[in-house]
Formats: sequence, structure tokens, C-alpha cells
Amino acid sequence: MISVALSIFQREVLIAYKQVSEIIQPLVFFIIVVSLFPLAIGPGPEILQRVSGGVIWVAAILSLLLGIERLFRDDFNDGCMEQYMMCGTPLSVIVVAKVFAHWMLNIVPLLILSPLLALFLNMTFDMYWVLILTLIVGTPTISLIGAIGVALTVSLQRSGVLLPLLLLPFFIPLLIFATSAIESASLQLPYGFQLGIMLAIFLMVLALAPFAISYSLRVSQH
Amino acid sequence: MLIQWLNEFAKPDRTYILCNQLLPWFIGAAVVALPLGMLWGLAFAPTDYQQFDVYRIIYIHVPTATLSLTTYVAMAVAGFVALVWQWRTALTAMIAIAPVGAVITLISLITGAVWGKPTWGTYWIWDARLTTQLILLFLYIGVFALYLSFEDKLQGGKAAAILAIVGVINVPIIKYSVEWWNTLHQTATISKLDKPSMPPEMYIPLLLCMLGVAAFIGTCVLLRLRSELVKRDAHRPWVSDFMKDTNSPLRVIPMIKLTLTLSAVAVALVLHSMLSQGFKFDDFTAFLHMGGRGTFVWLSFGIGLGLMLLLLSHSILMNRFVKLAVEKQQARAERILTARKKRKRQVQELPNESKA
Amino acid sequence: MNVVELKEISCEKQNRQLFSRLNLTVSKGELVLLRGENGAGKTSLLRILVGLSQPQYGRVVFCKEALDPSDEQIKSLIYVGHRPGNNPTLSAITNLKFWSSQRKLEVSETAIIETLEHLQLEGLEDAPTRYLSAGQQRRVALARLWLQRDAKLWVLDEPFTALDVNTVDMLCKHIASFVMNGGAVIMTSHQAAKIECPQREFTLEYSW
Repeated sequence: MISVALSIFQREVLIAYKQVSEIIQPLVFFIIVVSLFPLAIGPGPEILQRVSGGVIWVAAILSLLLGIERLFRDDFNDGCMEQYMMCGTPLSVIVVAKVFAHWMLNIVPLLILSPLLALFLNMTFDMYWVLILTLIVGTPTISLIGAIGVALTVSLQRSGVLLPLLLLPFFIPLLIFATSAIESASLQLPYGFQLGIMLAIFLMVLALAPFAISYSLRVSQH
Repeated sequence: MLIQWLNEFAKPDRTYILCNQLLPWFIGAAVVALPLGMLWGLAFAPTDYQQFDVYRIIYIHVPTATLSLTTYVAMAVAGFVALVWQWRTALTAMIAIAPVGAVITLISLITGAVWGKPTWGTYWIWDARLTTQLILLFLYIGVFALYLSFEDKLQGGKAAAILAIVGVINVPIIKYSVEWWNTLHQTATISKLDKPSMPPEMYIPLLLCMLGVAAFIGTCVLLRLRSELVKRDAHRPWVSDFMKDTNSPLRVIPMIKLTLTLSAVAVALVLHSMLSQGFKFDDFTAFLHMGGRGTFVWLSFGIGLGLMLLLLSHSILMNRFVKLAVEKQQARAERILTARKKRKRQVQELPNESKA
Repeated sequence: MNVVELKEISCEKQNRQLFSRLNLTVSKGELVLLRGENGAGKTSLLRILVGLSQPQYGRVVFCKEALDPSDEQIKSLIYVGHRPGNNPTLSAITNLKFWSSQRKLEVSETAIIETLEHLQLEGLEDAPTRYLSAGQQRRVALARLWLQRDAKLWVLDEPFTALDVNTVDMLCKHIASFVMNGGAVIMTSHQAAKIECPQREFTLEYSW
């Protein structure tokens, strides 16, 4: 089982290496969205500091949504998904490997870029530190929930705005806890509670989402 | 035993007949309870000592708000049943519920916003209840949009069911998170609407409205379920049997006499207790004016009832469209099959001719 | 001995009853040719057989056990469908290597190269498969039939499409030798191919 998951992971990395542009695009989008905000709400450092956590989180969610369709679409269209379903390893394991690979390849670069954006938005070090923590705990949840949405819509030719419509309601709790943790940090208040809740949500999603994803993929195969 | 009995009803034709049997009761309850409850609430219930007459929006806002969540849970349960026990009928029911729930949620949101303006001074605040309700509307729309975008309706139904079930887990989390978030943000200056315990003269009409809206939801769901069942099963013998049979249950069974008598008694009872409370306004213009808040009250009732009327007429019209579509599809099936038979006969005849 | 058994299968798609209460068994050392017009439901039947779609009623019994796609058993089945099952950005070798490692097959790289050579794909082994022609891509997909030796059942959906005459001959011979050695094959094909082994035809009637 582990060897199969490892092989899936390797495969994803290899494909990503051959299609680097598909990874860079959401990243560029992320930077553009974040740098639009100071232009829109004014360059005042206090205001920017106040909204910085929310802006980075919203931009991260949007850029993730932009690239997440790749997660299953190619495999579905070229028939690799059919072969996964017949390889004797539970589909939920394969799916987790794929989501993890997607997270590593799409989110980790985003984390690496975030110090730059923190500078743009005049974040304090405390805030930045909590921002990174919330992103580390929160983005895997977003990837997993996003994967459910992708699995549901993968057989549709044009899903367009459907995917964000399906997914955004599910991101709200995360957004609330993440931004409030960052706000608490900016006020020198404890933020352990929010992070704890986010971790709890992540663990719950990790336990349930793989089954929802694999079931949805089977429904999409019909 | 129970499962067997339920399985019997899981067959589409049985469900169809059941719909027809249930419909008169739901229609009867809605026709009786909704107008009476609203009239009572608008004109005969006492004026609130804090909010005066604008509180009368409660008679449309609270029933829709409460039932929107109940309807969502019902939809998700139907989806769950459909996925676990492979009941196509439950899937159809789920799809029938989704748009009705969406409209009911929309009504509760609009009436809430209209009510918010005179009491809170703003149409919208990011209060836990409002935000949850908005998310609920998104979920309904998402479920229905997902279903609509599939060509294969069985597949689309299953996908929508998964989303509805995942949503059920999400709704309490959203509610909790927004509530917590709101108490943290103490900048909100507007205090929540405090709920004093109501006197019976106020809550009996509220219960009546609740019953009426529930019956209305039931009516729309049953109407849509009936059409969806026929649409889904257009190629099956039971549908063509029903279509051929002129006395078929495809038409709404005329209201049974018993229902009529019972509802007449109920109406009399309600009217009696309503009228005994007396008209709460000096004259008709005062009733329209509602102590200066007439615009808000009538706006919310107008929008709410208008949306309900739209939903109802769509549910009724749907039956007609479906019937036309089914006839078209059956004609097509027949055409294809006869063409096929003809071609086969030609193929069989050809060798015979060459022998001759 | 039955390798796979379809019991009382009903399938419905797009408001059309494709087939209902269908029974079919494929036994060891037998080739079943699935015939029927376009749209009769051949592909749907095969997809139900391999567990990609769920039948409306009925069940699929695979090697005396109800078909469970997450079971290890399913590995003894090879399915070649309309979609090639190869990532277009990866090369033929890489695709096949990942395919075998997902199935936990011990296949060396030289074995893959040899198979590809056998299928006349010399020199194209390490080019991304998107540069290959339709027939060549199909050959890469069919290479699986050579790579996995312990398979019990092959499910082939139109395997001859886009193949040239030589490859069709080669595939026919390969199928025949597989069946003669105790394998079971179920396939659809509109082309009349000469496969020299015990075979049976199963015709699906078009219905509405």
C-alpha cells in the first residue's frame, strides 16, 4: 500500500516537473491578487496591516481553486483513473497520495513566497509567524475538501464557476479561524484556540474526505 | 418487515401513487393554514410592546427560516438513503426538495433583511444566523446546480447527494464558527433581537403559519417529485400505462369530501378564536399603515408570497412540460424501434430474394 | 471453471434501459466476443464487468467472489478501454513502469523495453506519448497484456481500433495463446478477426 502511494507520489512529481507552467500560474495569480489590494484600499500601513491576514488567506484560497482542477482532470480524461480503480489498492489511498502531492507542489511554493507578501502588507513578525502556522494547518484541509469538489465535477465538460460555488461555503470556517488567529497575534493575544480548532477540522477532514473523494470519483466514472 | 414495506414504496410507481394520495392533504392544509395564519398574524394578533407592528414580519420570516434548515436536513437524509440503499426514488425526492428549499431560504433571507432595516437600522449584518442562512442558500444552489450540470440524471443525483451530505456536516461547523467569530468581534453595536416569551395570542398564529408553510413546502415537493418521477422513468412501462389511462392518477385527484369537511371545521374553529380577539386596527388605512412601518411589513410579505407563488406555479407547470417531454421521448423510442425492425426485415428478406 | 459471472444485470443510461436481467459467464480457456450495434451497451456491459460502473440491479461475481474493486483480486484482470490510460506528458516506459508498480508487478525496465520493441515501438519508448499516433498509443496501452503474466481475465474494448494489419495479427495470436493457456478473454470488436481458439459470441440486442 505504501509502495503504491509512493509510486503515485513520484508520478505526480514527475508530471509536475514536465508541466512547470501549470504550477507557476496559480503562484503568479496569488502574488497579483495580493499586490492589487494595497492599490485598491490605499497604501496606509495600519490598514494594510489590519487586513493583511485576510487578504493573503483569500488570495491563497482563490489561487488554490485556480489550480485544483488539475488534480483529477488529466487522469480522468486519459483513462489513468480507470486503471487506478483496478490496481487492487484502495482508491482512497491513491487519492490521499495525489492530494498530498498536489499540496506539496502547489502550496509549499506559496508558503515560501509568503515572506515577500508579508513585507508588501506590512505584517509584524508575530503576525507572519501565525500566518504561516495557519496556512500549514489550513491549506491541507482546503486541498482535501477541494478534491471532493473536483471529484464531483470531473466528468463535466465545462464546470466553470460551479467548482467555486460548491467549495466556497466549506472554506468559511477555516477562513474565520485563520484570520482571527492572525488578528489575535497582532494584538499580542493567545491564538492557540483557533489553531487547535483548525487542526481538529483538518483531522476530521483527513479521516472522512478520502472516502468521499473516492466515492465521488466512482460516481463520476459511470 | 419495515424495510420490506419501505422497499415497496421505493418503487417509482408506488411512490407516484403515494404522492397523489398525499397531495390533497397537503394542499388542503396549506390552503387552510397559510391564509388564516397570516391574516390572524397581520390583523388580529396583538401589537408588540417593543417593536410595535413591524414585528408582524415574524409570521413569514420565522416559519421560512425554521423550515429552511429542516428542509435541508430532509434533503440530505433523502440523499443518504439513496446512496446507502441505492434507492433511486429517494434520489428523485432529493432533487425535488432542493429548489423548494432554496426558495424558502431566499424568502427567509429577504424578509429578515427587510425586518432588519427598521429594527437594527441596517439591511444586513454579519450575524451568525444570517451568515449561516446565506451559506445554506449557497449550499442549496450548489446541490441543484451540480445536479443540473450532469447529462446523466442518475449520476448527477448521486453527485448532488454527496454534496448535500457533506454540507450537513458543514452547517453546524459554520454556525458555530460564525457565532464564535461574532462574539469575538465586539464591534457589532446592534444587539440581537431579543426573544421574549410570546403570549399565546401571538404564537398560535405563528404555529398556524408554520403549519401552512410546511404544508406548502410539502405540496411543492410532492408536485415536483411526481414530475421528476415521470421524467426519470419516461421509458418505463408504468409511465406509459399512466399516460394512456385517461382516469390515471397523473391528474390531481379531486379533493376528497372528508378533507373538505375536516378543513371546514378547522377553518370555523380558527376563525372563531381569531375573530374573538378582535381587529387590532382602528380602520383599514391604519391596517395598511401598520403604525408607520407598513412599507417593511408589506414589502416582506409581498416578496415572500410572490416567491412562493412563483415556486408553486413552476411546480405545477413542470408537470405539463414533463408530460410533453415524455410524449416526445416515447414517440422517438417508437420511431427508432420501428426503423430498426424495418431494417432487420430488409436484411432478412434480401437473401431470400437472391435465392428466388 | 468460471472466471467471471454476471448475474441478472440491469443497466440504465440516459433514460434508456440498455439491458435487463442479463446473465453471462466467462470461463477459463474461453474467448467471448461481445457483438451488437452501436449504442447497444457493449461498453457499458464491460465497464460493469470490471467494476467501473455499478449495475442498476444484479451483481458481478469474479473468481467466485462478489466483485470488490478495492480487493487485491481485481489485479488479475486487465482492462483496455477506449481511453489509453497513459499520461500524455510521460513516456511509454514511464507510464508502463508506474502502471506495473501500482499493481505491484515485478517488471524490469528491460522487460518493458523488450515488449515495446516487440510491438514495433523502437525509438519511441522515451518520447512523451502525446507525440505518438493513435495506433502507437493504443499499442502502448496493449503492452500491458504482455507485461502482466499472471492475469486471469482480459477485458478488451475494441482492441483493434487504429491498429495496422501486422499488429492486429500479432494481437490475435497473443489472445489465442493466452486463451489456450487457460486465460479468459471478453472483448468487443466490430472487425472480423481470426483468432484461433475456442470462442463464443454473445449478442446484445438494441433496446429502449
